[in-house]
Amino acid sequence: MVFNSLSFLAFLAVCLVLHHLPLTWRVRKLNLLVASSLFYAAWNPLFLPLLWYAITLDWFLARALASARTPARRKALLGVSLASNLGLLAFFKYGPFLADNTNALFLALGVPLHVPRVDVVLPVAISFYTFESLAYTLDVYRGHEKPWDSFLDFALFLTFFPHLVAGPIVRPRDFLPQCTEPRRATPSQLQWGLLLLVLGVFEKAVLADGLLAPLVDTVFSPGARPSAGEAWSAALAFSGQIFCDFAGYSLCAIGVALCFGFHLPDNFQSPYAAVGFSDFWRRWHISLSSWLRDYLYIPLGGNRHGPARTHVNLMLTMLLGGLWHGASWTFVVWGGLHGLFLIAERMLRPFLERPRWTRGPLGRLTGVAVTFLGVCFAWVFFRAPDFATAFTVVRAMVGASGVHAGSLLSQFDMGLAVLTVGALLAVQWRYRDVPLPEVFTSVPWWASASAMTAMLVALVTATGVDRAFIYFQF
Amino acid sequence: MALLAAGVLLAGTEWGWRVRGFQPSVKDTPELWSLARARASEGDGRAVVMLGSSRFQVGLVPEVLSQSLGEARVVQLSISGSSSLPVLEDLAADEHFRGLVLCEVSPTLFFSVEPNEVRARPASYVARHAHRTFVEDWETALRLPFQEHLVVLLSAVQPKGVLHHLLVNRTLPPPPLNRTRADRHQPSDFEGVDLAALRQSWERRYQDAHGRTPEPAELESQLERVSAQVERIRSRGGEVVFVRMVSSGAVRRIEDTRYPRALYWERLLERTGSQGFSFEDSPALARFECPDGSHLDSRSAPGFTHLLGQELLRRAPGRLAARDP
Repeated sequence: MVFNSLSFLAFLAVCLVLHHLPLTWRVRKLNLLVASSLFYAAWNPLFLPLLWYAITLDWFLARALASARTPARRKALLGVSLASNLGLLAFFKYGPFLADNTNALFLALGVPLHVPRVDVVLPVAISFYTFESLAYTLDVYRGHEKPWDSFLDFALFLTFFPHLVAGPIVRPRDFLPQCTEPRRATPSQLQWGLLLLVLGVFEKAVLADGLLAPLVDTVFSPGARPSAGEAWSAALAFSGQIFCDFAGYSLCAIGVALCFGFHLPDNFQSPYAAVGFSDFWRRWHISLSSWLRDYLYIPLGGNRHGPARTHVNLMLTMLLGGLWHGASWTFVVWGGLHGLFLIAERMLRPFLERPRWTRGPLGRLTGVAVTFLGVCFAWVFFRAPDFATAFTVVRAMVGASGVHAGSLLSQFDMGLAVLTVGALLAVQWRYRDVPLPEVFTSVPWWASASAMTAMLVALVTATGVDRAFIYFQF
Repeated sequence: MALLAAGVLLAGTEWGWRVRGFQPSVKDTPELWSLARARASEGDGRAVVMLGSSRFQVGLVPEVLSQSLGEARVVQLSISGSSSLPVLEDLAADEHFRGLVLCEVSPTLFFSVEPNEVRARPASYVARHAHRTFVEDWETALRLPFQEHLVVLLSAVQPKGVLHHLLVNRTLPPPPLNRTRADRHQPSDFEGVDLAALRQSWERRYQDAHGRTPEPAELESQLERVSAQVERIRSRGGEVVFVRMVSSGAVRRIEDTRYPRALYWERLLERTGSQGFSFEDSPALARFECPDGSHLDSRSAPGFTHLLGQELLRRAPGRLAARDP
């Protein structure tokens, strides 16, 4: 059940009515828990027990952790949580990938061994709820949080349907305290929540799926031979598609949660207006990048052990961040490229900050352009189904695609994609550091009403083929 | 306020397109097919299932066929540009299905060996149906009433397509020649269409795109495969009747040349022991003409369907009597 569906609208309406009935807060939380489980089961009911296994295990492990007397026991309990969560993730998400690579390694070494490949269906949301659940046990282990005393609250934290399937990755400290007091949306919260839902679905259904995805799919299909213009158009279009798809989902999630009176953290803040790659990661998929920073990069040592170790830590974090997105070397390369960009930025920063012009508007604009081009280039590896396709597109982007390339896309499609992404960049540049609510309040009422009208009309008339949100596959 | 303005704009757009001759149409998606497929096995499984390509979807009117066959439960499972075989196999494997299959034999699709797309597409529909969730069915059913009544939901009037048409042709797009109804019937109106261009396009397609004819061994294996599926359906009390829809002009000549009747159609009937209804054998059916060479016009389809229904009753009364009304 995706946010841009009529079945979700019906489901949401029923949930909202139930949430606004004069029932106790406990019963209303139970309603949300049942609704969230149904929402998850709508994808594949067989994976519901797996979700509940993760919830129950980490709930009891965290309580045991808090009462453990010896460091060894605490470490053992944390080990169980890590092994269980990451083990499930490894089995379901990385099992075939690990088997294939192990077999390839054995073959290269001449070892006569063969690890059987078990193809399993990836449980939707497993990457997201695993990280949320792990954050809870890690926080309790470190003593940053005490174990929560209500199982109902904890189960709702992990399953709450707006963020369950594709984030934002919510931290226990951000969500659990909201469960203590009865929550209902105020009329203005409800209005703002619905507005975010419309904006999110517009980004997803109209911009990502309707305008950009068809062009991207054509150029990134195996065997396609794009020209330089087509390859650049597709890279630009995918930059727009992935942003509109994922930021659109996050807006829907935040908006829907707000309709129930819950606040979820922002996940995107004009990422394509970032000056530099570290700035980009402060603005792109904020809930994942901050998770990786807090639970991976800093525990690895962060930047506390000198430049060389910092660079290693950065690279490790980005490689694992890439792998989190999917069991494929193309995602690892995508992460590796961002790791390299971040390291290069750290090394060049003293030189870049020296000339005065780099601190002015021209410097910022140059920084935005260089960052965006780097990000675009890296997206090629993220989007390509394999390295052959990725290198074909990269070769075309550098003008080495040969004389037979081209004629995949019409000028109309390329022009529309460039215009759409251009408009997206302009809006992000204009409202670079302005939170979304302020964007709406800063423009005249007629302008926001017109924009809303246009989005509603487009939602009815301009939705293309139904596609799942890209981040569902992660 | 925005909701009101959007409502007014949409109503105006709806009116504008209707004035230009556009009519609502549901989207003929794998999900819509899946709903129909589920209906084929409902109850006692004794439905009359139409299995074929666009010729069946365009040329047979389900409600007319239903009336002709004594209010039988009729389900349209044809898929445009595809072979009937994957769906026939699916029905044969379905223990709940014990109805009558009207299996269309469009020779270039039914017998062709390559390309694989003509079989891969229906096979993907079948696979998708097997793994569908109740929410997908629910979503499709929820969308149907809107698509049945609103022109603004048509793919043909999506702003991107309209803008493209405006820039290239300097005019608004014309109404599509066919539309899909909730029962998956696709009435087609060829009036005002450039028929010469359309016929040429079908001729090219029938000459080349539908692949090569099978080698003798390949044909033998294919007939064996079809025969096995027919037997499975028959063993549960069902039946398969093969139907050759009318084709005209060059398309018909190409079909007759590439797939001679004696070598293909008659061998199919002989191997399966099934009844076969070819338009060529009935003077009443043979007088129908396909404006584009391959499909009947919406004005001819009800009459053709009615005659086919009568012909079915006349030539196979025993078999049809087994069907449930």
